[in-house]
Amino acid sequence: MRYILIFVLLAAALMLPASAEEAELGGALGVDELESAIPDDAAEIYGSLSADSDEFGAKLDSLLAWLGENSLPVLRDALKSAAAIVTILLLASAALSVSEREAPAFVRLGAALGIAAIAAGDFSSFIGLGERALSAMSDFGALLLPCMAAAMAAGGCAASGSAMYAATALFLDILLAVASGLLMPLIKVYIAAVTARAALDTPALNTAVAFSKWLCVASMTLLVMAFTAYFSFTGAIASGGDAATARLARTAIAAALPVVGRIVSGAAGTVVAGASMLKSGVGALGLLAVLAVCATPFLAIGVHYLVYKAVAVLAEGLDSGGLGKLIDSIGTAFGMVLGLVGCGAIMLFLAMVSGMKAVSPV
Amino acid sequence: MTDFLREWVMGVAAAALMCTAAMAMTPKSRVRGVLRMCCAAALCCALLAPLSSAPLDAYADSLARLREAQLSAAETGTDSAERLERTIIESECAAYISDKGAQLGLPDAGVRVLAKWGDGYWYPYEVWLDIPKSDELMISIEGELGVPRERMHWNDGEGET
Repeated sequence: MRYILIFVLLAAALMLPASAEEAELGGALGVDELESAIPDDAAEIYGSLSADSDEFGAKLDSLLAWLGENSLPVLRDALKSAAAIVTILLLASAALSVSEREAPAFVRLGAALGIAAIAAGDFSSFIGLGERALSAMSDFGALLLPCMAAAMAAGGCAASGSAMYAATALFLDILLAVASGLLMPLIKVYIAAVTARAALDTPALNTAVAFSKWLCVASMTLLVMAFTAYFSFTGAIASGGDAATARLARTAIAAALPVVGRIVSGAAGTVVAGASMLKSGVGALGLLAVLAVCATPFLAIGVHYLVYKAVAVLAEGLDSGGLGKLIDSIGTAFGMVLGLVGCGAIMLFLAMVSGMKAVSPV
Repeated sequence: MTDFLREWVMGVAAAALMCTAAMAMTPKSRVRGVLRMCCAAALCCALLAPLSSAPLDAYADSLARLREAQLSAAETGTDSAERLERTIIESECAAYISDKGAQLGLPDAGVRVLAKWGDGYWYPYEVWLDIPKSDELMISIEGELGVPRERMHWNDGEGET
C-alpha cells in the first residue's frame, strides 16, 4: 500500500504541465523577442503570431483570405499594363502592314521603347519588392535561426542545431549580397539588352541577352543546390554528434537509486518535451512569417509574369515584328526576380522543417 | 563583397559592350578576325583579373563571426535546458521528501534540495529541512535519494544541525 501511494505521489509530481516548462524555456531562448519582432507583412496579414503550432491552420486560412482579397486589385493593375501593351502591339501591327521599306525599323523602335516604358514602371517596383522581401527574410532570419538552434540544443540536438544555423545564415548572407550586388543589376542589364535587341532588330545582342539570363538562372540554381548539399551533409554529420551518452549515465544511476533515476529521467523527458513543443512552435512561426513576407511579391510579380507571358503569346499571333519576344523576355525578367525571392524562402523553409523534424537522442 | 562583385560585373559588361561596338564598326575582312581575337583576350582579362584582389579577409571574418554566433546559440539552448532540468529535479526531490515526511506523520518539512552536476545528469546533493532530525526520514533520504547524512541539515529550533 505504501509503495503504491509513493508511486502515485511520484507520478503526480512528474506529471507537470508541459506548458509551464515550455513557457520558461521559451523565455530563456528568446521566443518572446522573436514573437514581437515578426515582419510588418506578417503583422498586417496575421495580426499577431505566437510560437504555437496549433495556430498554424488558422493562420494559414488568414493568409489565404488575404491573398483572395488582394488578388483582384493586382490582376487589375496587370491587366491595365497588358491593355496598354496590346494597344501598342495593335498600332505597331497596323503601321507595319501599311508602311513602306524604311518605316518598319522606326515602327519597331517606337513600339519597343513604348513597351519598355510601360514595363519599366512595373519592373522598378518589383525590384524594390524583391529586395525588401529578401532583406526582411534576412533580418527576421537573424532572430529566428538562433532561436530555433537554441530550441534544438535544449532538446538534445545541439550539433544539428548549430549546423542548421550556420548553413542557413551563411547562404542567406551570400544570397542577399549576390542578389543586390550582382543579380538585380544583371536583370536590369537583361531588360536593357532585350529592349535594345527588339528596338534595333539586331542579332548582335543575342549573346549578351542569353549570357545575362544564363548567369542569373545558373547563379540562383547553383546557390540553392550548394545550400541543399551543404545543409544535408553538415546536418547528417552533426546529428551523429548529438550523442546519447547522457542516457547511459542515467541508466547507471537508475540501477543504483531507482527513485533518483525516475526523477532524473522524468525531468529530462519533460525538458525534451517542452523543447520539442517549442521547436514546433518556432518552426510554425517561422514558416508563417516567411509565407507572409513572400505573399506580396509572389502575388504581384507572379500575376504580372503570367499576364506578360499571355500577352507575348498574343503578340506572336499578331505578327508584330519580334515584339512578342520582347514581352516574353520582360516576363522572364519578372520570373527571375520571383526566383530570387523564392531562393531565400526555400532556404528558410528547409531550415525550419529540418528543425521541427529533428529527433532528440535523449 | 557586394562592391567587388558589382565592379567585376560592370567591368565585364563594359568590356563586352566595347567589343560589340568595335566588331560592329569593323568591316568584314582579315582585320575583323584579328579584332575578334583581341576582343576575346580582353574579355578573358576582364573576367579573370579581379580574382587577384578578391576580398577573402572579409569572407574569413564573416565565417568567424558566424561560428561565434552559432556556438552562442547552442550554448544558450543547452544551458537553459540544464538549468530547467536542475530546477525540476530539485523541486521533485523536495516534493518526494515532503511526501515521505507526511507519510511518517512528521510536520511540513519546508524542504530545499540542492542538485549537483555529475557524469551527465543532475543528482540531489544536499538537503535542508525545516524540522527537527528524524531518523526514519534520514534513513529514507539516504537510501532512496543517495544524500549522505552529513549533507542533510535539520532545524531543531536552535539553528541548523
